Amino acid sequence: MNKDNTQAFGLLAIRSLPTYLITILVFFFVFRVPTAEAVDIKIATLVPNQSQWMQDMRTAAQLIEQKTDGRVRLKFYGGGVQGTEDKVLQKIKIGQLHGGTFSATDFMEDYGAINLYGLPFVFRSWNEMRYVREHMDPVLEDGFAELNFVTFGIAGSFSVVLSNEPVSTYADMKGKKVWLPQGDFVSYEAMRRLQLSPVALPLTDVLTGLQTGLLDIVTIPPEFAVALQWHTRVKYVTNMPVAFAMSFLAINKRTFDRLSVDDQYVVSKVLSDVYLKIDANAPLEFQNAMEALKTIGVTQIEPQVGQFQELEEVMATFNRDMALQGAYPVELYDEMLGFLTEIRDGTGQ
Amino acid sequence: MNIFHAANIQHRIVSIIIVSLLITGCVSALVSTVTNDLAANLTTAVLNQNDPDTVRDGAPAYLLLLDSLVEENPEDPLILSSAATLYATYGTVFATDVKRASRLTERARKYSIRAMCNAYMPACEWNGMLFADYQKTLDGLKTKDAQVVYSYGLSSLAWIRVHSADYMAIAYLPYVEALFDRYLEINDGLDDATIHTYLGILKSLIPAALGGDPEEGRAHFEHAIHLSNGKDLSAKVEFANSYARLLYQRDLHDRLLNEVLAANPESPRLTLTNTLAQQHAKELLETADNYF
Repeated sequence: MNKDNTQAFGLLAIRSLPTYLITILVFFFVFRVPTAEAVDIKIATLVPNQSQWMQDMRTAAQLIEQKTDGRVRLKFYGGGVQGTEDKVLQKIKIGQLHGGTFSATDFMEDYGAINLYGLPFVFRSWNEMRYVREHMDPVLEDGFAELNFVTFGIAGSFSVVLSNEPVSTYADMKGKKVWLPQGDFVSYEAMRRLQLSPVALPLTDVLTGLQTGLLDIVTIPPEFAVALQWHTRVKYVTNMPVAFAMSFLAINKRTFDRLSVDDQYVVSKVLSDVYLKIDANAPLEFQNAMEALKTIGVTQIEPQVGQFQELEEVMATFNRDMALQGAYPVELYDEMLGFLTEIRDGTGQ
Repeated sequence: MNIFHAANIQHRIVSIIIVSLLITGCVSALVSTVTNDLAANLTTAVLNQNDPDTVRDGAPAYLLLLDSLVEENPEDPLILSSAATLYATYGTVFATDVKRASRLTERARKYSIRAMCNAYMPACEWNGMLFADYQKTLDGLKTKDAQVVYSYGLSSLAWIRVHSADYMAIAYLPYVEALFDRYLEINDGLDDATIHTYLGILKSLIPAALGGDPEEGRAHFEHAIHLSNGKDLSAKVEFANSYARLLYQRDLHDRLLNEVLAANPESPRLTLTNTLAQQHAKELLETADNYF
């Protein structure tokens, strides 16, 4: 090709560029078919590798790989090796990871409604929780789509009070140094309203906090307390549901959309089934962990009559105030209370 | 919520290591009724066996033998400990049926509790004791209690492993860890590679992000390997399984396991456990691509 021809070709190339690009783009967006290549979905979690949850998830991953003929592979990074949830969210944003397990507080700023179940002293029992969730889970899960996440169900348990002095009344709690996770501003404000002294610490420092007296009380599901060995530093557990601590698995929607519709169905079905099973077992697991605490000498304290109601009343005012301040939608909060009234009145479906 | 069955200890390796300990423990029981030579020869023969199936098929006879010894000497801590150790080993290593494993390790636990209580009275109150109070009682353990402590710790781990779906079992993990820490102090100055391996496993259960200290676990694994001059292959396999996998250190994981596979498993008193360790190393390498 001589120089003129080269120039002519160059001009042609440049003049043809828009059409050329459009063609590619049209093919890419309009006629795009799901890739036949394997899609690796990298999921990070704080859950330890040897946990039952992780074993369930690895089994689910094998099933998904098998059912999609190897087109979808889930890779789990457990034990917090990818950092805490805020770091995981950053890594998802830049594409280093594609999903993770989170708690409601991780989305506190972007999606306040997800914190509704975790409001303190709202639910009195697993039955109440179950009834409300039957009606409200779909609403809350839909909200994740707006955050560009796909979720597969919710699992959770009730936090209880673990302490080194018996707590059977509201007065027993007042002035006590109570642990809460860093960044959980709703719980922080709730504790202040209850006249407690909230101490925000990372999970890594709680055991030391209990040992050194920096903390008097921790509220956590008993299953977690046993798994993290916090039971070695407390003497009492109060048999009273403080709040529902929930967690869920979320995969970035952009990654999920790369899968064919059929493969999306497989992933959703398999992961949802795992979460359904975990969720269904949750009350038994809670009870088993409470029994375990009793077995190793942690004294179980029953709240005195009327004390729970007093806490409920203080918190009801607080919870509404927080809704009015925009922490979560008032209408959803009222809807939740409506379902609670239904089951307490026996008028629920 | 079964999210944190963190305490589901790496049973295969634990079991592997238990084998040698149990059988070593048997010696003392057998000494009561048979000659020292026979006991020593039996132990050596079992530990030098490179066919685990032979041990699996032969061991039940010795379980019954130990039961009869316990019948004759119901309060003897050493005989109870030997019986506990063998039941724990067999229950975790060779019993494939869950219910059977549960029965065998439950019996191991009962024997070891009796042994511990007979050897050291404060231990009679351990069941249902708060951890802080339990820790205080450990201070009173002396060198003379070491063998019973060893068996009690092993039997407890075996029982926990088989009952790991139960939080009541998981809750006892820190108790066993504290006991092994104390064992190293009272073991008459003898450093024990197996106990270091156990401590490596126990201290690698909780990730650093959740308040654990896996680096402490690593130090125990490295010390165990050092003590055996690298000949105890179980220590390397468990190092890979418990620590390298926890921290997603693929290079370390593969290096350790390839060393295990390349090694000659035949080593005095380690052949059986090394043979089992090589089987496990192969399984871990085969699943590594999926894991990492």
